[in-house]
Amino acid sequence: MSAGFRGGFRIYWSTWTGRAGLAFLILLTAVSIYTITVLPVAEISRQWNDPQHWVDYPKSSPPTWVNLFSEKKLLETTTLNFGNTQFSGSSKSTYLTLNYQADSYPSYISLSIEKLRYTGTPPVLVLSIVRPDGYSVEASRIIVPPPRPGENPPITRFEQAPERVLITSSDDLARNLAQLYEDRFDVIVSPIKVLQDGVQRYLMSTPKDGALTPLKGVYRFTLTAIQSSGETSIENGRILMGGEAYGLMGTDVIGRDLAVGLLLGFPISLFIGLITSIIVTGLGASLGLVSGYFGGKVDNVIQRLADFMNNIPLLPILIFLVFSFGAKLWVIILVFVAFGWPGLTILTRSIVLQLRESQFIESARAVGASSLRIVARHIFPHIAPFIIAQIIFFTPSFILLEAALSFLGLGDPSLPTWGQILELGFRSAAVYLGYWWWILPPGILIIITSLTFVMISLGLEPVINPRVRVRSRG
Amino acid sequence: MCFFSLGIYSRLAVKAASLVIVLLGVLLFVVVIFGATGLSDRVLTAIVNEEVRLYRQAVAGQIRDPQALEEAITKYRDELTRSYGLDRPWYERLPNMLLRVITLDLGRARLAQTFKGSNLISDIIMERLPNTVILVSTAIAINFLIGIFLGVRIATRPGSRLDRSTSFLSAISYAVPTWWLGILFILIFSFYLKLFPYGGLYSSPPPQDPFMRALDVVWHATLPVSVLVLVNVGLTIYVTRTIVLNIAQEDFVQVARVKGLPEGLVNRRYIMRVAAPPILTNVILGLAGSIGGAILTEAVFSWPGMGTLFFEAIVQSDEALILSLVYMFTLVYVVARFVLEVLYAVVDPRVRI
Repeated sequence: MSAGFRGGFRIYWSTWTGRAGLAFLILLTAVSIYTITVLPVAEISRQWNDPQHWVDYPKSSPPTWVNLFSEKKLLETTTLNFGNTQFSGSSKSTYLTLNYQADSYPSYISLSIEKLRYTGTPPVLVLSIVRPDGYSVEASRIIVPPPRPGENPPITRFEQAPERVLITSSDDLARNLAQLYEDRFDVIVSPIKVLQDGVQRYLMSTPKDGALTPLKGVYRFTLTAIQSSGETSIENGRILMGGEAYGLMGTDVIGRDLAVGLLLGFPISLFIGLITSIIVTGLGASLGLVSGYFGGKVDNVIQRLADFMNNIPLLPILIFLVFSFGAKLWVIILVFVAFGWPGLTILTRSIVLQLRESQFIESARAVGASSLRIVARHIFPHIAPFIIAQIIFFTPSFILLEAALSFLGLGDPSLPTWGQILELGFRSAAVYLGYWWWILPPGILIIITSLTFVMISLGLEPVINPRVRVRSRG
Repeated sequence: MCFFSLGIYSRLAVKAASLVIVLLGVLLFVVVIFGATGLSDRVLTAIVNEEVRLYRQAVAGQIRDPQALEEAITKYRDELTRSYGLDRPWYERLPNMLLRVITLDLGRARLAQTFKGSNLISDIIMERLPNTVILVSTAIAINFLIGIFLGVRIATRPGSRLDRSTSFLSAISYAVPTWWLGILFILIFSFYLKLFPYGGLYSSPPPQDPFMRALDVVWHATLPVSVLVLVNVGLTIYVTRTIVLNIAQEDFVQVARVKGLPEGLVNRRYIMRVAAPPILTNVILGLAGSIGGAILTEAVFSWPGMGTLFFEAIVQSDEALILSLVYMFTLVYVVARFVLEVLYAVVDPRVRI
């Protein structure tokens, strides 16, 4: 390498694409290293696929910073705790109040009961809500299971996992609200319509001029234990009013924090792109080297195979193979390697063919150097810069291929990738509902990552080209 | 190469033969994988079960004795198992399976259906095939009309701002996933601006009048076609520009100019005649990529073609359907390649001897 590393770098640095590409690469690498070292990746990957973990997060919510740009402020999640409560004697109920002053409605309201103990007959817990206008509705009933044979009081229930009721999808509440609207406001609305429009909208509004307007003021949530004999206690009861905005990047339909998923996508995307590219380039270049330098039968076989594989539509075959062997990360990488090498093999061969006829190789041969020595000491150093450039050049295509497979539903389900986030978004109709925070960031990140390598490639071109002249094959 | 000394027909025959080898090679590879992973057992068993079920319905009325009925059904099942080769290892029924794939005789799809309700795989694919061909060929045609027109124009002013921005844009378009661009377009043009439909082939219900119906299809195809064109056109412009530029700097073009021939004549006879074959070669090379892009674009726009079918087949884990689609996509590719080869022979004067 006559120009040397420093000279090459100066040429590279003189192009703005080279500078920008390098800056982006450093940024991407930094984020990836941060993700791997600081975050418990294995733990988060497991949580990512566990819907239970995200149950209390608001669903399909935009990021909180949209409040900075919009007139109407979106609600953030509110939690009300009943705490440790005894239901005994004549006072069998407890209540919490909430002063509600927002312009919009919570995305959902849920009630969870943790660790309930009772003696006597199994209790029924009733949650009723008194609105600021004084009207009261029964929101939900939790029927506590009776003792199993052989179980002695006090009976403990909801110990492993809290009992959680989504009261905003409760048929009872919808029916009660429809009744309330008919009785008090002379508005006829079917319970099905209440459920469709959102129970919370009817719960926290008054009808004014035929439209619902938010009813501000103090809401009272009363929890009552109905029991013919005995006592009941709960360790905690919680009312959660889901906000409409969450975190830096919003949430998806399961309530997953998209910021977490997007962050995990960085190292995975870089890993798949670079590892596959390195293996493919290594394999492709070696085959091209062997094919070009040694010629003969080996050359013939390799070239026929490369020609054949270069001539088939790749994506259907890749889909088929990943589908047949299972969507695992190593299968995906292996399949990419198996089908990625031919282009480079053909290219490397044509370069080696030219080099082989050059004078310095001939003189090396005349001196009596072995084939291995000639390839290792004379030919390889000549094509090394070209190979490195190819690694960079191939990387984005594998990043994009993996994203495409993920989008088709063939991504490794144990690792969240940008493609998979988009897949779920597309399948759960996020596009048709205008959930831009779910659709735009993963795509933009895929583009930025691919573009980083495209720009580095463009920057490397003037460095590589004068030394290794690739003439197009006739 | 000796290749060019052959006549046009023998050249095309050689091409056709090599394409058939590609098709058969892919098929063989796919069927071997299909057998070795045990998927073919599952597909054939499903076919047998379906036929046994139909048989049971047919004979249940005739045979009253439950034991005799079970015996008859077991006998029928054994016969089927033998005739489908399920009692033999997968590699022994390889030729049979190969024939099945070629004739699309792979039973019924799990959930996918034709418009009329048939769930035979061959019916479904034959219904979807034209939609894919229409979409892909329109996109490719528009891509190359625009690409060649702009590429030639830019080649006349190399180094201009337009020239530099196109090369940069073509580099960017390499990094943009086609399918994501489709999603973005739906978000912008369908959700926010409400200019185009979200997807599909027709409005529902489709217009009765044939002319309105055609317009309806055009309206539905606008977004998917634009996406396919936008993603590929940058590269086409760039490659065309480079090819034309290289030829425009050749000596014989200079000589033609020096002779004082009008610029239009020089462009047509001296530059384009020479540039056409390599540009067409580029079209041919881009074909495989276009087919891949079409699968994803169709899925995004629910265009009822084979790409959307692929998307559905993966969700439904429909092995037989996936196998048929791999075959059909390779077949479409091979046929399209051959059409372009014929075109190439027409354009390239060296081939017509």
